[in-house]
Amino acid sequence: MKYSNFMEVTFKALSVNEGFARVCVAAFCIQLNPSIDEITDIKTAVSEAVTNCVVHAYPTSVKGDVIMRCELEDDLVTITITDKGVGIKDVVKAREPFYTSKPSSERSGMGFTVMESFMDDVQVVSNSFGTSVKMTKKIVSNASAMAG
Amino acid sequence: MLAYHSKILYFIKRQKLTKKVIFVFFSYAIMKAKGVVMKIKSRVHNRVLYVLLCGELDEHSASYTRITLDEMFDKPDFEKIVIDLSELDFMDSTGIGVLIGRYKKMKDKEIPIFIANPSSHAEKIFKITGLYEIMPKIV
Repeated sequence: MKYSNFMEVTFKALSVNEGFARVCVAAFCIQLNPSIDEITDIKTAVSEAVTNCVVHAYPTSVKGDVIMRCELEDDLVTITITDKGVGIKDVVKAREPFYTSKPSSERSGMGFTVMESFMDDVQVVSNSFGTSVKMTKKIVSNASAMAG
Repeated sequence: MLAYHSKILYFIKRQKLTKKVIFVFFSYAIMKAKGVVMKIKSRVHNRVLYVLLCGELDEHSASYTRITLDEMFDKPDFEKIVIDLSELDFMDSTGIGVLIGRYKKMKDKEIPIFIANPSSHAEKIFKITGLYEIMPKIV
């Protein structure tokens, strides 16, 4: 029987919620019995995606929503982080290492590169109504133990 | 109101509170108000400034970390900086941006920065971003 579960939370695009977002996903993924390294990878990728929403999605002082959905299918974790912000003009360029649209504010421009390195797959869909980042990672350490 | 201010000023003068102590106090107050989970300790030994980052370095704690490190680095009594990450529980690429920013500032003063005791997770990010090329790891 296929193991399936999901959760979804919506929070305001504030930096104070970054810690909450990554801990929330980590706590939800515990049921797949991942290793510490796998959990840390997921936490980092979530943090990067939420940081993008906080820093780039809503340039005005009025901050909008971040919708974070985490789905578990057997040993596969799929995390989708969506905002309703201004969108990314050039997604291909934004994913390039060291590219940042805000070079003056000491940004490394490595957010997407870190997400790609820590997760198995990263897909970005963006238009003028918002951005959605979908990341997947297979938990290889001990997924089958809880799958029944 | 004026009398109240005068009393505070007198208290500061009497207690010989330095500008730096006041700065640390206000930084800490801002940090607490914003709920920042970051603590930074420093000491100078043999003209080496040792900085210990405790907590989580992300977008939320970045500005506090940036301001506090700049304040610590803005002293003339050391020739080398060692940033100890043994107490750092989490870091993402925002932290890399903070470290690169400090490197650029110290490069002008010809003061090298080294990284000590990174977690395997921090090490992974350093290798991806190539940070060790500008801030070597010391054992």
